[in-house]
Amino acid sequence: MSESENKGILRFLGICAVLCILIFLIIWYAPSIFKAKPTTVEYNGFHFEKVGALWYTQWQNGPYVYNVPLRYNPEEVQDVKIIGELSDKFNDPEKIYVTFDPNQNDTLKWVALAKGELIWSLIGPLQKNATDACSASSAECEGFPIVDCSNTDKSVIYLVPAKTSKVIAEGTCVVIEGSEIELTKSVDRFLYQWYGIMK
Amino acid sequence: MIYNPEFDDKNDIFSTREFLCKLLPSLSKFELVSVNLNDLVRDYFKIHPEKDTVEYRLDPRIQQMIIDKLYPVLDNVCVYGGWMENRKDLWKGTYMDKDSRYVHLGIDLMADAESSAHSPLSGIVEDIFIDKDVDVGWGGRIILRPFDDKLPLLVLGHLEPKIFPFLGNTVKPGDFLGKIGKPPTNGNVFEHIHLQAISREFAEEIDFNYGMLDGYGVAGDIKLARNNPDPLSFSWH
Repeated sequence: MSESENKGILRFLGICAVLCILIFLIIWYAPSIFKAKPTTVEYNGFHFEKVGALWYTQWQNGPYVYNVPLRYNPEEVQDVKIIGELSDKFNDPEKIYVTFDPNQNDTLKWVALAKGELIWSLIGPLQKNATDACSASSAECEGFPIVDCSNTDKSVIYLVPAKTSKVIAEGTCVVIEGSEIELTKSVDRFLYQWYGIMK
Repeated sequence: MIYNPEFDDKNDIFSTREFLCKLLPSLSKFELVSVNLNDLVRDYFKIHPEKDTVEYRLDPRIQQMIIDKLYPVLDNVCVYGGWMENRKDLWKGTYMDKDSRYVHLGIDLMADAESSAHSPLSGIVEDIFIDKDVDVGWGGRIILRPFDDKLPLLVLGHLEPKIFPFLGNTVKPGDFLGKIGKPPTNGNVFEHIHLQAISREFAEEIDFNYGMLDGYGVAGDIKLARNNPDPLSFSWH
């Protein structure tokens, strides 16, 4: 066998080895690369299904079974901490004011998204008398009550864009914090607690 | 308060799309987009303040034109929405001014007149009403009582007032109910179907006198959402 034939065989074997390694890597990693995200989740006896962008579960209040849509499932919001406690006064209000600072223009769209999700659950399945409010006056807030956590005679939920996601409950006020879409994550954590789905 | 994690085949979680397409099969080829109708109208008259007169604003052809402007922007879509929406800009100048009765109690689903509406549920035709009022009236209206008592009653409004199922008839999902009406006989509003859920307790409270049923309520009334839950929050079957 000539030297050139030897080189040819070695090259062929080298290519085969590389191909084998590539095939092995594809077989090994493909499932994790192409693994579909789960579309159902079971949590604390509740079944969740993803439809479009939202997670749905069913929740009964009185005689009716509601389909509750939230952006995150309970497993996704477990890392959002709830700190503090609410007074009993919070649970028996004439109204719950959902408030935000209208002067933080760059974060308003995230606040609007979180507020929409929160108010739908409050006035829908949870059957609370929730109302829009603002923490300061502005053109957008014309006609809305000005309320914040200093109004201790009122039940208040204050949505605050902040770097860390958390829920702080104190007296008659709940401050829900999060950055951009994470604000909705904190809202969902709070709602799961209220629905009794999470402890 | 009872938590019910139980499921059965009849009570699967559904999407908004599935429910609305069951009701109006002609929508199945469109994407569904939720829109705040009041904001749409308010923004239109902000740009065209010279046109902001009661006659112009309440003309169903103008309302239709404002809605239709969305379609070239949002390609291949069907527009719906409006539960608990305060429509003070849309209906300024109507009977609703009297007590600020601007809160919309159901959802509106935009669809062309003559589109067929089908039952999304198994139940009984509890009430049929032909409202000739042209000051935001009901037009043709049907109320369905689902067999499943975990569901509220479902009101379908602004239908063509000539075609109806029989009162007391049993319907099942997919059964033909009627057609989307057009102004003025649909209550003299833009072409759409109004879907409103009413709780069984509320139906009893008004002694089943559906003549007094309104599609709008007074802002701040705590009972509004309780008596009229979001129709999209139920698995109609």
